[in-house]
Amino acid sequence: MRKYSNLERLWSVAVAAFLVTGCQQTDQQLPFELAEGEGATLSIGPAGGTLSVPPSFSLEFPTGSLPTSTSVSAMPLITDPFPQDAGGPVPGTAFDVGPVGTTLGEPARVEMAVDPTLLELGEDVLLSIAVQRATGEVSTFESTYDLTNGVLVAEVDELGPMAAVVSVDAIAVLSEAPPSLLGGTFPPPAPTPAPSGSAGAPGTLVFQANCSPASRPCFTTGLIRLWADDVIVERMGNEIFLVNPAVRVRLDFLTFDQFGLPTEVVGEIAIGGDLRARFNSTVTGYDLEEGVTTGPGTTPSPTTVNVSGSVMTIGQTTSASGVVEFDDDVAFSIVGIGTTQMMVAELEAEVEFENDDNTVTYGYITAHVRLRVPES
Amino acid sequence: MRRSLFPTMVILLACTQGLTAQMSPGARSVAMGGGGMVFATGVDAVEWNPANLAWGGGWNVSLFELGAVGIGSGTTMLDFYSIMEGGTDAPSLIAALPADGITLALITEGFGTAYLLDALDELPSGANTAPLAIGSPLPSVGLALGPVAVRVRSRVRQDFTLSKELADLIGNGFELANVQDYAVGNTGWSSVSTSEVTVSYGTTIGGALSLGVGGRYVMGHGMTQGRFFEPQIDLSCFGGDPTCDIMVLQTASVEARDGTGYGLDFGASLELPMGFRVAASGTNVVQRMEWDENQITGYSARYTDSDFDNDLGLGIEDYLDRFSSGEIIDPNSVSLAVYQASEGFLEGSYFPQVFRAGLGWRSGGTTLEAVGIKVAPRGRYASAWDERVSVGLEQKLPLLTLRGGYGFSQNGITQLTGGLGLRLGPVHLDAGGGKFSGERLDSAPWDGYFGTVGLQIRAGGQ
Repeated sequence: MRKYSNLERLWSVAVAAFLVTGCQQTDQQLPFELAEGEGATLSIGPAGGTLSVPPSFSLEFPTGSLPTSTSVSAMPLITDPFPQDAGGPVPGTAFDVGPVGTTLGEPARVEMAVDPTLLELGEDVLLSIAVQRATGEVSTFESTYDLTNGVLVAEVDELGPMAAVVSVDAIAVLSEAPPSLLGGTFPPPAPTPAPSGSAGAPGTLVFQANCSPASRPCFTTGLIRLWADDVIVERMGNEIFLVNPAVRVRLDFLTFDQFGLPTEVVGEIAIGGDLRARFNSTVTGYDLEEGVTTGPGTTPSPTTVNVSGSVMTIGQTTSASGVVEFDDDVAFSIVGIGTTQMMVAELEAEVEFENDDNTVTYGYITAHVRLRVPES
Repeated sequence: MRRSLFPTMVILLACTQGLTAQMSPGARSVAMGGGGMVFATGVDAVEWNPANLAWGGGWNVSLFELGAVGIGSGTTMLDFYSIMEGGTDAPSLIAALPADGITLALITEGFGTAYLLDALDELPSGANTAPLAIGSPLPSVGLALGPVAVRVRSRVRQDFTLSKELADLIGNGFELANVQDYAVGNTGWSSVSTSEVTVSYGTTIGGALSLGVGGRYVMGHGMTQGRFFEPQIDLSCFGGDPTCDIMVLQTASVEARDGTGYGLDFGASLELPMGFRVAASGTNVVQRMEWDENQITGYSARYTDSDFDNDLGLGIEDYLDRFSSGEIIDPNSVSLAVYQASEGFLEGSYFPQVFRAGLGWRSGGTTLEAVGIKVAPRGRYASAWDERVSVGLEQKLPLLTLRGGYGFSQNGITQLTGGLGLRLGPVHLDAGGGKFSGERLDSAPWDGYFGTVGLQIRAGGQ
């Protein structure tokens, strides 16, 4: 039998070890990715659960969200385009989530991967998760966007087609001081129609403004402009937008004194939208709903109005939450636009900021709403 | 006093009974500035240069080796501790942090870490430590018989990154006035726990050259990776409603268990006249490491601004208990956060190829070594300190051996080391330790400490 040298033994061990260990290491891959276009279906009961379509989508149902065990599905929406009612969908973020129209007992948490490189400069602040409801209406939800990881999060209350949308209807909240309003002369109210041959009774003077994503986008109509004071800018930064704003204002001046100034008014003021702010690495949203009606209840009723200079003091208003205020001052100006008149009314939304010593500092967002006399 | 996650972890891991150092295996090498490769013998030669087994002869048992390495950048260890504890100087220390925050790498011995984590699990609240790391059931021991040696080595490696803004949140507590500044950035962690069984053999070729080979079987006990997500701010809570969470921080992690791997080491050593020796070795020259990709578990946790309250902040067990119990990941039922936390999880999850070359001189009881180490840029478990040049000196005296060393790396890290060996017949008790220091290119500091204690029985041979 042949006797092997030490070198031969060493060489043999090395070759054998090489064969055993094989060639160089290659990276292992995770088996989580689904094939393109593939979706997921899962039965989720009252205890909750998570449905996902990696790498872009997950939907987390908390306990009590679904009353009974429900087969929930999510499929990439490839064939039917997502409606553009609430903004332009970000490519690759639309999903068909069913059963369509399922109303959730507790909101479900949607997480969508939105690649920041797919967004134009400044679009990240305008991102929201939108759901097409069973009625066909498209609703956007208060959304948070993680700028580092590209994750958009919102809590939705209904299942249906969903997408990340970039709102085109957004009003930038400016950080300089708003211009002063200078008052002006109220135009005479148009007389009410009367039987032929007799003079008409004095009519009322109506100013109104309406815009919303579903009808006339506020951005394109220019009906509203917004400013934030120093407190707001200090706490929330200077990149603030009101996304998908909705303005509904109608002031119906009923009676006038001998100088042509109104003495009685009925109407409502409502401003809504998603207030968005960009923090360090996060865009966050706040569902803004500010509104008052004249009079003691949430249904508008006549109340006094006293005009002095550029301020009209409304005798009594009630907020949407039922808080009654007396002598609510509203700055205004009235200017002629062509053959008609335009009133600019100044409204303020108060934002509370708690300090570390538990005191509260108030910041204010000022809105100028342009009201016009409707065409008869 | 504040109790927060990061300092407690650091303290516990640094004080573990049963540690070992990956970067410089062996108390002798640690004391010699990370050198010690040229004249390493017996069990120590297994990880440094298997060719040296041919020169040793005799036998040698390593009964235990306990060590730990901690190296961070962005601040010093003491300042880091002060920041995490919310000390009076925390605001100024946080303000001085570099823009990319703090990094921290810890390497500890696996058996001891398992002991520590078991102790955490047994806390009254039963802390859920799975998202962080697990230890090893095998202690670090070894046996060398002439030219053949076997070494069992268990270790846990953990890496943390902490953004400057999150350090501010932890150190100074949540302040509403700063809410627009908080950012998580690259905050995250990873860990890997393995045991290796390495069998090495060395032989002489002629009278002056020796060659060696080692084969390694790697058992992966656990590997984790986690990250934080940017804070979600609820603007509607700014008014001070105590039931309202102004800020929610989400974190997610993934964990793999049951990895297996192999590695192959080579070495050569050439005796030169006048007591000189040159040596070269390669560790993991050929290697594979795979984890069970079908058993990957996801965890998630959410923290709110009140969890970072300076007075009522959470303790470590509370932070850990906030993690979900963990579920095997199903692609159809995984949150996007957990999915994103898994990105790149298995990529590069193998150990780096390390190549070493050194020149040594020995005369009587004096040994001098200079060693250079180069790491192949594959795999993600290379350390900032792995690539370096080390110079070490060893002086044997009756009963005692004195050691000292210095090392420096290209990225600005330096180390100053020292150690002591006690020889009582065949019983060798060695201890070594040192301090990392230096500056990065952006002038942010490197700082760290390390130490190793080993007990060996040696008989015969050199």
